[in-house]
Amino acid sequence: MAVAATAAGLAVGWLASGRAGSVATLAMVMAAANGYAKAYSP
Amino acid sequence: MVPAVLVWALLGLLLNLAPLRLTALALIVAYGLYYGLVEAAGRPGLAAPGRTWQVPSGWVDRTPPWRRILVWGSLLGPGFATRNPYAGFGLLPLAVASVGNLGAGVAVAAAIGLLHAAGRVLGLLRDLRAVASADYLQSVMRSLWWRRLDGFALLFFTGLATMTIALRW
Repeated sequence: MAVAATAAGLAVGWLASGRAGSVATLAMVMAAANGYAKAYSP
Repeated sequence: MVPAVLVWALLGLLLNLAPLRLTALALIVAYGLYYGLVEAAGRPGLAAPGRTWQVPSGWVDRTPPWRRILVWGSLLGPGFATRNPYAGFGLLPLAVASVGNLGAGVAVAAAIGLLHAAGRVLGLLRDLRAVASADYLQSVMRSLWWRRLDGFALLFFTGLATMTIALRW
């Protein structure tokens, strides 16, 4: 799974032609998920 | 949400004043690889940034409501001064620094602040509804599940940042 996740990131980076904006764009998704997950923190 | 957007927009401004794009991407690779492997494998590892931070109880206990709202809104909303068990939060400022453009950096940071705060609100609302049936063990199990998912997401960002560096530099 860890290898698959890294490979998926490499593939998306390749498809995005290395645009630095792709990291920032997907970080927005991570921000929302992190905020949602934090509410579960015991 | 308003303090979150303002604080994050200010961070976006500061992080994009200097050309940090390549440094930020390299840090994302290293940070994502370490914490991604630790979280995905369910190992203890180094404590994630923000794991021990939280608003001191003295700032909100026995204080007027307006002060409580101010402290909780301005500190808890942006997410920097509150305990966050997932290392993914530490990647967000690096992602902001990786933009490398002042205007876009501020916009991305503001969007991250807004989405993070909105996610917190939705999570809290869900917790409020589920509080009757939830117990501590269930809460810990959920947290472990989210931690693994956060680890895979960090590894995804490691791959993404690696490819971005390889294709652009």
